[in-house]
Amino acid sequence: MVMKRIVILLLAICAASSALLLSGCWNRRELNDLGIMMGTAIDKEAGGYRVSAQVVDPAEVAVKGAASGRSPVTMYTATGPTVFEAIRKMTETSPRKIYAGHIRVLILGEALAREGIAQALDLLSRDSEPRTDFYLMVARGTTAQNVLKILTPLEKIPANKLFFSLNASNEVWAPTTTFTMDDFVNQLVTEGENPVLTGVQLVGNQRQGESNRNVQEVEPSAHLVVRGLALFRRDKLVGWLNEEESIGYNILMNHVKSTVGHVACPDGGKVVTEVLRNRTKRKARLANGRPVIDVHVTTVADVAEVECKIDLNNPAMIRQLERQFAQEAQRLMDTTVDAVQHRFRVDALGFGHAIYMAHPRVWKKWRGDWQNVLPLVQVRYHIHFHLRRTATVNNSFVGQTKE
Amino acid sequence: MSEEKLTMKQLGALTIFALIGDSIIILPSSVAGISRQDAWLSMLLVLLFGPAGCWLMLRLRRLNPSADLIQLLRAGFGRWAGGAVGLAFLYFLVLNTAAVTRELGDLLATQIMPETPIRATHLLFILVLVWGVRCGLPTIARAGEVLFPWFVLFMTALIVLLIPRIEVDRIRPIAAEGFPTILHGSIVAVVYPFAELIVFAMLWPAIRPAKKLARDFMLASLIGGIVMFLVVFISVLVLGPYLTAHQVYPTYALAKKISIGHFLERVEALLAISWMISLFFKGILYFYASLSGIARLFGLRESRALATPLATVVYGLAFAMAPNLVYFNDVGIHFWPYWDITFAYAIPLALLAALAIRGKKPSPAAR
Repeated sequence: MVMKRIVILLLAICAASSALLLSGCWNRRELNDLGIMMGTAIDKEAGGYRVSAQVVDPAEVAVKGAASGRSPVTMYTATGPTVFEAIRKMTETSPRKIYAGHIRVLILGEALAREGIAQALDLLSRDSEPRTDFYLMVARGTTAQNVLKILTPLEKIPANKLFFSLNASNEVWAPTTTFTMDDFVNQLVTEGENPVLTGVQLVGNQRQGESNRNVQEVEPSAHLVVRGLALFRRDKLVGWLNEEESIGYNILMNHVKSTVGHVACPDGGKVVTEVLRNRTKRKARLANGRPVIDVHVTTVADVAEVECKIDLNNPAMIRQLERQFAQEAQRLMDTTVDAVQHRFRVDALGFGHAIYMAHPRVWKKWRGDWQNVLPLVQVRYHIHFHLRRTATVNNSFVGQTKE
Repeated sequence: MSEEKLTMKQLGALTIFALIGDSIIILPSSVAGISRQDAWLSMLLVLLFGPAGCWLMLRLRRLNPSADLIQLLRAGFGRWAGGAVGLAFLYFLVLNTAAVTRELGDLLATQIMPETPIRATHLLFILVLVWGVRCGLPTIARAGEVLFPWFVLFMTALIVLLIPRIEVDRIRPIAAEGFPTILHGSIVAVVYPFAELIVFAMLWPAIRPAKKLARDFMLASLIGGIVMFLVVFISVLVLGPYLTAHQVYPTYALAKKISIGHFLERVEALLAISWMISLFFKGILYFYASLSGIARLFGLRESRALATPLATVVYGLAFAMAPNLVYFNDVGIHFWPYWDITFAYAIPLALLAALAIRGKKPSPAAR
C-alpha cells in the first residue's frame, strides 16, 4: 500500500514536472523576441516575390512613456522565390522573428494581381500563425510596398489605419466593402462567382508620406484612400469598377449597411438621402430557357439634406422622391451589371452561383460556356424604397431666403 | 471485483464524451469532403443509423449483463476461436487508444505548438491515461461527471457564439448532387462517433444494472449525435463547404471565427481544451477496456499492474502507426471505417448468430 502511494506520488511529480518543462517552454515565444507584423505587402519580383512586413516598434506605440519621435512602425523587405522564404529571409535585417498572428491587412501589388495571386496567398491560409480575419486589398497603380510605407495620423500603425478606415467606411459608405482571406478563398472556389477585392490608392507625395513629417502636418501630404473594386478572373485581376459601379456592386451583393446618395430636384438643386437599412435578395429563375435574376431591394431611408425648393410636407412629394431614389438605385445597379456582362465578362456578381443554387442541373449545362451565357442573363429589379422621416426639419430654408 | 458500479448519470456523460471524442475535430472535414454542402443532411441520416448500431451493443448486454465482450466471444465461438477473435478485438482497442493519442498530438502540433515533437504531447497524455486507469473506472466516471458541465458550456458557446456568422446561402443548393453522395457521406459519419461506442461492450459489467439503462444509453448517444450534427451544420454554414472540407481541423478554424463585437474573440485555444477533455475520455475508456480485456482473456486477477507496460506499447504505437498526418488521414478516410464496422457491427452480429445457433446462454463464469 505504501509502495503504491509512493509510485502514484512519483508519477504525479513526473507528470507535473514534465507539464511544466515540456508544454510551457518547448515552443515558447517571448513577447520581446517577436517582431509583430501588422501589415504585409506582396509584390511581384523577377523570379519570385518581394514581401514587405510592417512591424510595430512597441516602445513607440506604448501608452506610457514618452515616444522618442521614432517612426511607430518599421518595415522589413526581402525577396525570395516563394513568400515563406522571403519572410524568413527578413531575419537577415530584422533583429526579431516576424510573428504573423496579428496581421490586419494584406496588400497585393497590382502587377502581381494581374499575373495571379493564388500561389502567393497559400502560405497565409495554411500557416497556423495568421488568423484568416485580415483584409485583402489591391494596391491600385502602385506597388504594395509603397502603400505600406505611408505613415498615417490618428492611427499610429498604418496597417491599423487601413483596417479601421475600411471598417468604418464599410459601415457607412456604399462604395467600399471588406474582403477577408476566407471570403476571397470562398469566392475563388465557388461555382459561378468570380472574386472581387477592395482597392487602395495612394494620393499625394510618396516620399513625403514615408517620413514622420507626414503625420506632423495638419494635412498630411500623402494619404491612403480605399477606392474602387478589383475584379478577378480566377485569380487574375482583369479590371476595376469605378465608384458608381462599386455602389451598384454592393447593393446587388447586399453589402450596403448605411450610405448616402442624392437625386436632382424638379427645378434644379439636389436632395440627399441617408440610407438606414438596406436588404437585397436575389433569386434566379428561367424564363423560356433564359436565365433571369430577380433582384429585390428593400431600403429604409431618411431625407438628410435638401438643397432646393421642394414641399416636404406633401406626401405626394415623398412618393415622388422615393420613386426617384429607386430609379437611381436601379441605374447604379444597371451600370454594374453592364460592366460585368459586357465590359469585363467576369461573373463578379455571382449570377452563375445564383443559378446553381436555384437550378443545379441547368447550371451544369452552362458551366463550361458561362462566359458566353453571362451576357444573356436578364436582371429584373424590384425596388422598394421607403423614406420614413425628414430628420429634424420639414421644409428647408433654402427655398425661402428673403432679400 | 467489488468496486462500486457506474451510475446512469456517469454512463450518460461517458457515452457523450466517447461519442464526441475525436469526431469533433475530424468529422466535419471528412463528411464535407464527400457530401459538400449537404454534409448536414448526411449527419441527419446518421441520427437514424447511429442509434440502430447502439441497439446492437445493448443486445449484447442483454445476453448477459455481467459478461464483457471477451467472455461473450468465448461463449459464442468456443474457447480457442473465441479467444482468437478476442485477441483481434484487443488489438482494435489498443490501436484505437493509440489513434486518439495521435489525434491529440497532431492537433496540438498543427494548430498550437508546431515545433513541439508530438512524442512530448503523447507522453503527457499517456501519463494521465495511466494515472486514470490506476485510479479505477469509478474515478474515471466521476471525473467525467465533474467535467461534463464544462464541456457542455464550451460546446454551447461554440455553437451559440457562431450564430451571428451564419450565412444560409452556404448550404444551397440543397441535395443537388443527389442522394447517393449524401448516403456515402453518412456512412463515413456514422463510424467515428457511433461505431466506436463498441467500447462499452467491454464495460457493461461495471455498470450498475438499471431498468432504464437501455433508454438512457440510446438517449445519450442521440444527444451526442445531435451535437455532432450541429457542429457539422454550423461548420458548413459559417465556413462554407469548401473550407470545411479542406481544413485539416475545421472545428478549430470555426472557433477562430468567433468574434462578438471585437471583444469576445480569439477563444479557439480555450475551446480546444474542451476537445482535449472529450479526447481524453475516449482515450481512457479504450485504454481501460484494453487492460480489462487483456486480464479477462489471459485470466489475470489484476489488470492495473499492466497499465504501465501497455502504456509504453500505446506510446510507441501512437508514434509508429503513421509516418505523417497525410497517411493517418488517408487511412482514416479509406480504411478505418471498414475496420470499425468489422469490430463494431460485423463481429457482434456474427456473435449473436453463433449464440442463436448454439442456443445457449453464456453464464457469467464462462471463460
